[in-house]
Amino acid sequence: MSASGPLLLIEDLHTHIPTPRGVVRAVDGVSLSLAPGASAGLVGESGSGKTMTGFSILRLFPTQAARIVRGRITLAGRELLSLTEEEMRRVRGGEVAMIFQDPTTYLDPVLPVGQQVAEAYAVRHGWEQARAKAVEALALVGLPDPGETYRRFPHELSGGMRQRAVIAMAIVCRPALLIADEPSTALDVTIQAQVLDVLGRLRREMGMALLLITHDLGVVAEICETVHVMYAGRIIESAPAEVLFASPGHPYTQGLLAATLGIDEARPITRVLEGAVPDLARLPRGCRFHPRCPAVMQRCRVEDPPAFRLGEDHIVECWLHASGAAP
Amino acid sequence: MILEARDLTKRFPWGRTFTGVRAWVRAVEGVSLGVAEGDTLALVGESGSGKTTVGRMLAGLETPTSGEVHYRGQALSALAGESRREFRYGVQMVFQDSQASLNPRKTVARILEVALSVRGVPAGARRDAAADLLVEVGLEPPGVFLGRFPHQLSGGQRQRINVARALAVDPAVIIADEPVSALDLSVRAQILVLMQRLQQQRRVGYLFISHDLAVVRSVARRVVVMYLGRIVEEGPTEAVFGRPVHPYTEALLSATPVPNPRLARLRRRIILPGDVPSPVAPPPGCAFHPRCPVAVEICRREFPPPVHAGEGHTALCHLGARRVPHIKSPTASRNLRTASM
Repeated sequence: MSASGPLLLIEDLHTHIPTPRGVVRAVDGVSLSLAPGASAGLVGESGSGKTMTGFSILRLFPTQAARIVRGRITLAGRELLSLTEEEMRRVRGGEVAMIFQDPTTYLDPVLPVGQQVAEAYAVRHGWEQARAKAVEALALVGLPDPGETYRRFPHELSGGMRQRAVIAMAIVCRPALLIADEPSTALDVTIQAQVLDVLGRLRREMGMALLLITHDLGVVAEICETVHVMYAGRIIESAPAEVLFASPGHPYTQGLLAATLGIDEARPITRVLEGAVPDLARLPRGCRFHPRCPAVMQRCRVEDPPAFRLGEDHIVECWLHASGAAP
Repeated sequence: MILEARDLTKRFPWGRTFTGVRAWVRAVEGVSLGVAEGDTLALVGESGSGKTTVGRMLAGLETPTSGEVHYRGQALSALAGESRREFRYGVQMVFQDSQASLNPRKTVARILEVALSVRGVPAGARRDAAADLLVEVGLEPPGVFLGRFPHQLSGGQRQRINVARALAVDPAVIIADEPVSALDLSVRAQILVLMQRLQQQRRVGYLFISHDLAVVRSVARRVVVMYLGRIVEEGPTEAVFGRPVHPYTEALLSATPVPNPRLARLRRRIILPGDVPSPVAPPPGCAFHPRCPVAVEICRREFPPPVHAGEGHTALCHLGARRVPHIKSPTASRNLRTASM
């Protein structure tokens, strides 16, 4: 891997789930890249494919039926899709770790949390230093009195502490990339602030890259440098966070931002996106957003829009920008 | 005020033994508030703040341990017969979980017709009235939805049915407990717009219970902030959000993500240490003091006094007076004196 190369590179990824109703195109041609130590947000509503994109990186699917049918995923120059299951297991929790929304589900209720953190280390490096590394990780995520917390059981911890214990499990092997799927969604806002603070500190102190999967544009604005907006299986807009929030190019992004309420101004909701995300087994023809698009044109109903470049790193899949620079 | 809470307290038994109850969960302590016709009052707090219990007591679903709920000026415990029925129609609830609050074995038509029948709509007119309700909540054409079961609807559509069912008995107040928290962003906006339109058309009052300050800011005229069972600050939305007095309100506001990367970077974030303490043994003095970034000695010992920070804006904090500079300044107090003369 060259020093300037991306840590993670996803090219034209397609993940399908065959169902009796037809093939669900959960991920339908996603490409993105993430530099070492960088942070990116993968934003979308339910059914946008953001979580399946995260699962595809680790080849860790909630259903046996899910298949990556096309595409390339490269981690630090290594082609992940050509790895065997055994090699993949070493990647998971080693170079790449993932955390999820509900921390309770990912902790064993009958084992002390410290032991679970230590085990994540021991499966790769043996038990010799595991305890010390676990205590170190518990301290790193800001749990008070890590030596004591090591011995506590999950039910003795609050929701915020459990989520931090799960983060400790994920980072104990010092991954180069952490995929966080709605890590703060189920938490109270003051606890969410603690968790976001921990994720920011881990990036600074460990040089860890972060791929944050969320529906919450506010959280993205707080901790992500770049943003990828997903809709019905595709990234329809990518841009540096400041650019995306200041001048969104896709009507869907514009609608999402209009629906996102801030606390710094009392803003009535003026524009509302009607309808809902389409059935991924029966995608509309042409642009997948056209049935809900307030700016729909004839061309949108028949032709899939290609990616148009609006700025250095600002890419939009929308025919409205067809007159602009060449793709 | 149509619906009022007067000094409501609710304690739940915790750890029953043979000899009695070992301890009490102090879910709500001395809460007073009121919802006026056509108005929106927001009740804000984190898990364990008691906001849902207040809502359930106001809806008559829980009996207060002490204190009283008043409906149109009358104590709820004194209501019987016809006036009790009037209260039950007059105050409706909409919940967060749109699926759990609809009977999975009944069609939309049946769900709405049952509600219409208790309001005395004759059997022959119910189907048309149900269709009208669907149009009112934006489910068109109604014929498509009448025959569906709840599982055949999306989350947003189900929440519209819950709103329609509440409207079926023509309520004066709707208590909405996190009505949009489980919905996707674009659907959330649709439901909020719907609720605002219905309020303008029907003059219905809302008690909007939510943990989401951004949503509250856009819908409520007044805000009540709860922490560990008590009201810590209340006032007009603009005043509470613009000039928060209580350190907890300030921390909540600063912890709420701002959807603007430029502002987010400039903002000073207050990160509160630890978690909300157990309501079984709330801390002495000001219950917020163990997490408070500015707590002083007196906060650990004495219950804080109310501080008036402006028209209808009150907070309970020992440091309150120091935290309201515009009241302490001599010009401001002179103005106050002139105004009162």
